Amino acid sequence: MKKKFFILIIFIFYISLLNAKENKLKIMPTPADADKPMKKYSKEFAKSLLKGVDDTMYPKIFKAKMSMETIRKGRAPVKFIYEIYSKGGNKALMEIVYPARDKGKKILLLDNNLWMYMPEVSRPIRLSRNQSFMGSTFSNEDVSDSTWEDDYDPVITDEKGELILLTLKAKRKDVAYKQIDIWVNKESKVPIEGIYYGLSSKPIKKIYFSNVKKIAGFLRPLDMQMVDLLEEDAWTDVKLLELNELQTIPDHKFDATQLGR
Amino acid sequence: MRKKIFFIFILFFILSEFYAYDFNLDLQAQFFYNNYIKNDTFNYLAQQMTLTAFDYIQKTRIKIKEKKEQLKFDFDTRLYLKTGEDNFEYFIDSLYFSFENGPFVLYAGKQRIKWGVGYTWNPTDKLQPGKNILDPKIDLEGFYALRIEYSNDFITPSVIIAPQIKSIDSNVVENIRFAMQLYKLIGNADFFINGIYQMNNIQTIGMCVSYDINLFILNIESAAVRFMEPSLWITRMTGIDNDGVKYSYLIGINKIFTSSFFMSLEYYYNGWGFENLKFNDYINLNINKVSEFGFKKNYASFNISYTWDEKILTKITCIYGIDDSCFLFYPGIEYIENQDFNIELGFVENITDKNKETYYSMPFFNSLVLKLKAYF
Repeated sequence: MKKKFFILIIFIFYISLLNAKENKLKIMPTPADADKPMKKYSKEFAKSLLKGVDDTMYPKIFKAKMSMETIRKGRAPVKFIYEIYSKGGNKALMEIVYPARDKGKKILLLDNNLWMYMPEVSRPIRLSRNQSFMGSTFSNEDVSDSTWEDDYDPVITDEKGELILLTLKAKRKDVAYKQIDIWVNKESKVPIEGIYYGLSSKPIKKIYFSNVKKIAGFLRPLDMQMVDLLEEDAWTDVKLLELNELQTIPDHKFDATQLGR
Repeated sequence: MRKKIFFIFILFFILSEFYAYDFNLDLQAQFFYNNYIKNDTFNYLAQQMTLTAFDYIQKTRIKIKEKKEQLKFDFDTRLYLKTGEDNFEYFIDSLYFSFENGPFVLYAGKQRIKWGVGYTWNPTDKLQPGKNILDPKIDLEGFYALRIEYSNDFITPSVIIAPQIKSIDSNVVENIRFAMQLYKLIGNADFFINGIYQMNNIQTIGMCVSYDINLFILNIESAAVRFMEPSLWITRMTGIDNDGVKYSYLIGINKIFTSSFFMSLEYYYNGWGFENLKFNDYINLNINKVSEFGFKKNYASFNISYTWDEKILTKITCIYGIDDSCFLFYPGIEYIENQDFNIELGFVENITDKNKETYYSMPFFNSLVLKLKAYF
């Protein structure tokens, strides 16, 4: 009986520690401004601009190698390198190639489904899609869904010289963000920076794009930095180390039962 | 033996540099302090091995992978060097090659084929050797099999033929275990149907569902199992049960709140488990008792883990036997110095009343575990 009581006390202590940790992160951000479309730009132009942004981000079908390093105040930096196969914006397979401890783990996204494969377990494990990706400030959707066009309706809400502010409103409730505001170069259609809003309309993340180079026919930002606005001094640096446009990727690559191949 | 193993390490390492195949090495120095219960199980184990309060085990894991167009080679082994021993004990978890041709893939050799969606238990999985219920993710040993899979949009079938060698007077079919699994993704749910057949040995049919209901992942797994071969399960061996069909199932939820928080809660009904009364019959038979947890019908498990500031991983695993109130409690803490070096300290406590049956099948009160892990 004494032992059971002791275990209960440990549990309560552990859970209360976890609650204390989560409460620290609940900082109230400022509400998003009401966004009104600029009349001089049509909805069709906004759509074509968003399509251009999607095209400059990644090819429709590609293989890439990407490093992702997350910095958080008071914590050791966490770095992963992934090999990525992506097809059509709704299918993505990511394999960890660094560090040695996690090498061989795979993450598969197929429409609204997400799985993780660990070689030691040798079966796919289903994950919830709306959670952060491998401890980074990105959500799983940020990383594995390479197009905004399918999930968001664009309107142009501001303009500063060559830059245009695209406001993307979620088409469905099951996407990670209610709204994304993204500054885009009107000519090159390369995104410069953006703000992501959570389901409660609060700004939760800020993204910066840099190191623009011509790859596979388009000017593309190879580096990104995602800053967590809810946590002080927390951001993730993403560098595209390799990017190759492919003609096709066989569908069995995106079958959850085939991740051990 | 040690020299040979050392030579093999060096050889693999050098060859990996020249041939650029994927070579990984994990090293663990493990220390255990065990506080044994001097019961019948302890006496039995003591006849089989030297039991000491303090154990030191050096665990080495070697993983080699090579892919050449359609062919892939996979080798995964664990070597253990135990206290006072000069020779390595080893387990080959996988040693196979695979051949791909578009959606078809053929695997041949010793391989892990894990069925089921449960975290701690998998009632549908009677192919793979059992997993460590206190840490189900580690040390899964594969089995010899030929496996063919065909990936397509409709249903992905997986056909398995596994040799199970029987006595010399058995016919060919009695020496082969046939298994098949069908997989279908419907919406946000994975559906699996699977079955195993071996003549005069085992028959199973099972189904699994893993469903993302936003708040958490719901896992359901059930199986109808018939053990015809008495040596496959203790109640058959002892003659307590006949070879009829019995049903087992699991229902569980899990959630990863952030990538650093994992929680799992499961209930498992083991149709082949002992009733309390029958378990006493088993004790009275005084046959080979082994250190196992899970002989009875109703169990629950709870797992929670959280990583603090990418430096400290804390975890708690609880296994509760509902029939006789037995309880295993395993809190652990892991210090992550960097992504390639961790130190883990764990403490397993067996909280089972002395007048309960499971007490007699467990040989320890508690065990303190220290693991130093390096990844190369």
